Amino acid sequence: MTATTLPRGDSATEPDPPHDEPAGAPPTREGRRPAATAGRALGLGVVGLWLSVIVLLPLAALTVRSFDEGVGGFWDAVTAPVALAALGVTLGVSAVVALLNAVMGTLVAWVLVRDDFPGQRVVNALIDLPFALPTIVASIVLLSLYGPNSPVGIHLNATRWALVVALTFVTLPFVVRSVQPVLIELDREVEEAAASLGASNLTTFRRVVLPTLAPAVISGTGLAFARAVGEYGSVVLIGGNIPRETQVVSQYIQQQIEIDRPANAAAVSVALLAVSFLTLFVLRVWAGRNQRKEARSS
Amino acid sequence: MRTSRGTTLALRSVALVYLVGLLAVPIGVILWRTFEPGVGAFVASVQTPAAISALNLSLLIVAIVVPLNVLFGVVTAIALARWKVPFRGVVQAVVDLPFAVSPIVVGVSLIMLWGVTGWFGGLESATGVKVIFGLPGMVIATIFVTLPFVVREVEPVLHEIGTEQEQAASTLGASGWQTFWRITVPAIRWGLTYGVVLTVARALGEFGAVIMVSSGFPGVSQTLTLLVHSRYIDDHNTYGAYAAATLLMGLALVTLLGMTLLDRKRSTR
Amino acid sequence: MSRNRLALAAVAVSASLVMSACAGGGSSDVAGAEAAPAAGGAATSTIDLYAYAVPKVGYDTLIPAFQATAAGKGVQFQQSYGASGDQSRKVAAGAEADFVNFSVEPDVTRLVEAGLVDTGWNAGEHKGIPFGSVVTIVVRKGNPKGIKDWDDLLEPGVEVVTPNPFSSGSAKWNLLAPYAAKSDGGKDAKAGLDFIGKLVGDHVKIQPKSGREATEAFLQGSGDVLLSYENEALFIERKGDPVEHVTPPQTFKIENPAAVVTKGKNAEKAKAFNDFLYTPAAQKLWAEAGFRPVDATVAKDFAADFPAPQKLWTIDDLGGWKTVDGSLFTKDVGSIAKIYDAATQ
Repeated sequence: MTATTLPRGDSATEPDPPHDEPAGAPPTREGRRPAATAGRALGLGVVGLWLSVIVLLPLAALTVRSFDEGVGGFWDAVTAPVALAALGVTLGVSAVVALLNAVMGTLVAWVLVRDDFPGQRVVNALIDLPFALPTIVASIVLLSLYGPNSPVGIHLNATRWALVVALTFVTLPFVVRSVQPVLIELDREVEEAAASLGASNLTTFRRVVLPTLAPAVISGTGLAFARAVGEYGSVVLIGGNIPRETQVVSQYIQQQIEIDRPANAAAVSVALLAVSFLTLFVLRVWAGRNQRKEARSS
Repeated sequence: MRTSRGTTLALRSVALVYLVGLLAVPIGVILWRTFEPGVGAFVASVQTPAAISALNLSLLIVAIVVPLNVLFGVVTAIALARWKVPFRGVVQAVVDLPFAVSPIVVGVSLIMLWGVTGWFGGLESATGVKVIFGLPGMVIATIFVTLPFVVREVEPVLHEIGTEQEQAASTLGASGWQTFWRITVPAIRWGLTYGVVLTVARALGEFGAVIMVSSGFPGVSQTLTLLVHSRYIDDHNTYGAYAAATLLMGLALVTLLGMTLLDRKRSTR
Repeated sequence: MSRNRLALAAVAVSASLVMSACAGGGSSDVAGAEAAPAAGGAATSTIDLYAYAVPKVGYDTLIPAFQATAAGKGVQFQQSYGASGDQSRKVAAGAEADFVNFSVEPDVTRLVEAGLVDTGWNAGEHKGIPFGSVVTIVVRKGNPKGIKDWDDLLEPGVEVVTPNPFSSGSAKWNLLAPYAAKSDGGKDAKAGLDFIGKLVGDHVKIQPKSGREATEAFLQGSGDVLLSYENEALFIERKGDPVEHVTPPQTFKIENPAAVVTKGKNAEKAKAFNDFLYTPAAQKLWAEAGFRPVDATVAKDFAADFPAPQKLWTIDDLGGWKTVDGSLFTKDVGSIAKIYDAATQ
């Protein structure tokens, strides 16, 4: 699993906050203790400052600026018809993409784990390509195939299908990479047992395999959805940027900056941020609960 | 679960057709378009002064971002894994936040903070350092989007190796630094390297956040990804855009190779 | 041991990165625009040029020509192109520029108000306008929808591509042309605005940010009609794209202002460059690149390439940019701004 498939349910998986000092630290440490403590305080300060300057302050500035014209201004900006349409297009297309990923990603993971064919390792390595490939390259790559000079005669550019293809491309690895490890560790004896008891393949898959895979499928799907909602680079050349039709929220925000309405841009940014954050939050809570359930049952 | 030969083949075909259609064919088409006029045309197109300086700028940003991310990322990971951190849940969430933020929102936020009318706008008039529309802005944007990688690769390793060895070392009289260099660093090296590779890939490929804060001068403030965009849109130079995209794709493939090799190394640690 | 090797590798990698980052590389995609630095290590200066989206094709020939003159020897250029309003705001917000060329005058006025451009920038013979164009209608090859005049744009099923007037200068010219034609030069404002209302409300679907992005969208298949500069139409026709252009009987004279940023680092060289643009040699290059020259003699030589429409309205006919911008385009106040907002929000 690559780091990009994060966040994991850290709050649940990680051990309880570690002991500040190893229990029963040997007496030899005593002499250095003040220095070590000072070092840690410094370290914590540095971490806090770093995270604040890079991540928190910009987002705080964004949030404050989004209320430049008051709560009413914020609300007007977010509920402007074209802004709402952009949100709708983004969420709708992302949902389609997430579902497509859930089905096809699981299938691909299954084939990569359970099947055995020449060239499998190459295919396995290729799965990560969308993570390594710059998104603007993804956009131009898809445009060269589905754009006006399409060699296969398929013209998708400036349609919602183009958005679906582009977002599916960049989110491909999420479900595959989160299901794969679970499939590898899946206890095949249970499946065999089910089969020997006369269960059909479909029943075995539905009753035995799917329940085990479900958490991984859902978390991969959720991450794919969150990524799709905020995606920009891969749709910029192929999406068409047609308001109410193919304009995604990121493009709407950029347009607001270009036409000198920074408060609108900030307000819609905050809305978009809230959507992606909510998605990840729900996932994290859900993953945490799941893990606790698992821990209890074992 | 034993699937019949037919089912196996059917599943395999569906998966392969899907991957070929989604990944292989588009990439094949762009490679063909790039190299159809000959390798010479490609080389010429990526050796224009603008292309060379775009590559240089992309590499320069990587060269600045990677050491910063390694330094602060490792400290953050150690803090999260080993120390008592106040509000640790919040800190964890902040580290993951960049994964959830659209690159465009990153750009807008940075403008709100560092732009001339932003909170830190005074800095620019006071010191003359141009953040937005300058190199610092592009570096900060890239750090923002790559911040989680090193932390998220190193922290689990630190949890996994536990503290026994480090304790043993200090029992034997090693200083904090000695323990760090002799025990911790070798243990986290593959995880760290993997995090660095991910950082490099994302830093080279970042587009949305960077385009918002760059002044877009070819040869000065245009990274490779901006070059692809500007050649396609501003110059109406489709072939040049394909060629630059192919160059970026080559870099991505090298990264991918690194990722695959390292992943194996990491798991057989 | 392996730690050392790792550290060594890291150092080697970063060193090579830094070194390659310091290696050569200039400013332009066009090899010819890259003048060799003056021999003997003479100091070279760099002009930061900010322009609207489409004149790059002109500067690609004008910059090398300037560098071949005595005044331009060794001068390097950094060029940025984009939506006129967006570019102007960037410069006003602190992006470093020495020379600006925008689509519309208010984008220069913004810099005058910011104290970056001298108030007398348009005092010269040509009022700070080194070249111009006219608003034209670009259609698909063979003109399948039979577009000849402004009224044809309102036929059912005709989709028109024109950029967003809040970021693009081209968009303002594109809307002013039918406005002037329909309102008889502003006399019957209501008739003009009615036309704009129908055009923007029923026929304009996308809002590209600049004239160039509008062209790109049109070439990728959006819409039946593209409103654009004549020079842009000539540019894409010469590129071999399957389009042609129709200049309606009544259209609008486009005047694209250029100015020296007096607060820039290289105001002196920028001024030399600005002066150069008005020389007959430079005017000829503009004309060859598809822009209408302002020099009377050169204009006469190229008269065949730039046919005069029956009636060419100018911004002065409508009362000048100050009036036009205030009454038509100012955000939340101007009539066209309100129509555009209502149709696109």
